[in-house]
Amino acid sequence: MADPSGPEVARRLRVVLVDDHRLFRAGVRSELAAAVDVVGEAETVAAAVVLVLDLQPDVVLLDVHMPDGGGRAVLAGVAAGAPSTRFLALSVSDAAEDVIGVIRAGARGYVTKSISADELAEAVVRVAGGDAVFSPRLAGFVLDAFASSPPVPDDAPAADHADLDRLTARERDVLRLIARGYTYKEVAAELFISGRTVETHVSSVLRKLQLSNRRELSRWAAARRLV
Amino acid sequence: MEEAHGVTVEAVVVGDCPMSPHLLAVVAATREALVNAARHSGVATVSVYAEITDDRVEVFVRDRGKGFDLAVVPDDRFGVTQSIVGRMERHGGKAFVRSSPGGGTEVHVELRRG
Repeated sequence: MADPSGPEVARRLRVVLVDDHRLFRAGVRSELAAAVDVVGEAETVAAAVVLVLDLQPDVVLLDVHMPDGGGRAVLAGVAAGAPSTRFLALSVSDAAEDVIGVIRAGARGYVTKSISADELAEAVVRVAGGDAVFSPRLAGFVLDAFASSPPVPDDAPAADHADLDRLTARERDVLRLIARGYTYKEVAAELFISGRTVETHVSSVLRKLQLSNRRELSRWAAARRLV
Repeated sequence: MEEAHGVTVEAVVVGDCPMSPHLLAVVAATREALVNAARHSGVATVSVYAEITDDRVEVFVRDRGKGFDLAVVPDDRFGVTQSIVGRMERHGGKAFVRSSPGGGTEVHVELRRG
């Protein structure tokens, strides 16, 4: 399914930048130049959709907010037209609703623009390999969204694991450490589990975010809107 | 905080609750931990994670800076560490400091609610 990820990947990843600020794109392009090939840039939703369909890049770095609709609109426009392209949301946006929205529209992760160049390159590789990328802020949003539901026991029967509205205790542990600023590697060391297991937990949380029937998510989003 | 000390604070907050005098101690301890990180860590970013649940409030202040050896704490660090721990204990809470040379520092502040 997914390409084997990691530094051993021989082919350089092809990346498209979608952001309405030219200066920001230029900055990201130069920061990432050593690690990936930036094959295209777009500053509007319409241009982004055409470009992604045309280039079929490995990864699209997607701004959450743009004047004509933003990341969600790009994801909706591309739809199934670029099946092997993966999207990573990159934004300064603080609005939980928007961030969760872009994840539910299909992005594999969310990072804030304060991320370092090395971390961003690492996140691009991870997303290209089919894994999920959770920044501290996204982890916090998810914990908040699922806060009111009791955890699923880790040893629950498989049927209960399919419960998309709840997190397992272990998933919570992993998210809390990410929210505290731990890297995946540090999370693994802290919980005495492998890096691969951390990835599995994070991917499972992403799946719940994307597929949950939103009993908890919509309740939370509604409460947020009142604040 | 960011302007005064030239660091970026990455703050993540989960949950919410009304303010109380004991919570002010948590805020003050957090502030102290942040200033400490800004002054001594040598790095430009500090992470803050605050989680409020029905029965407790927890805050973690973490930097990836130079850290220090808790067994041989320099006087200035000892003072700050003690004042954070002491402040929390006076308010019925707890504080823990984890640090190692080269491994950064994390201050964990905890207070039971109700």
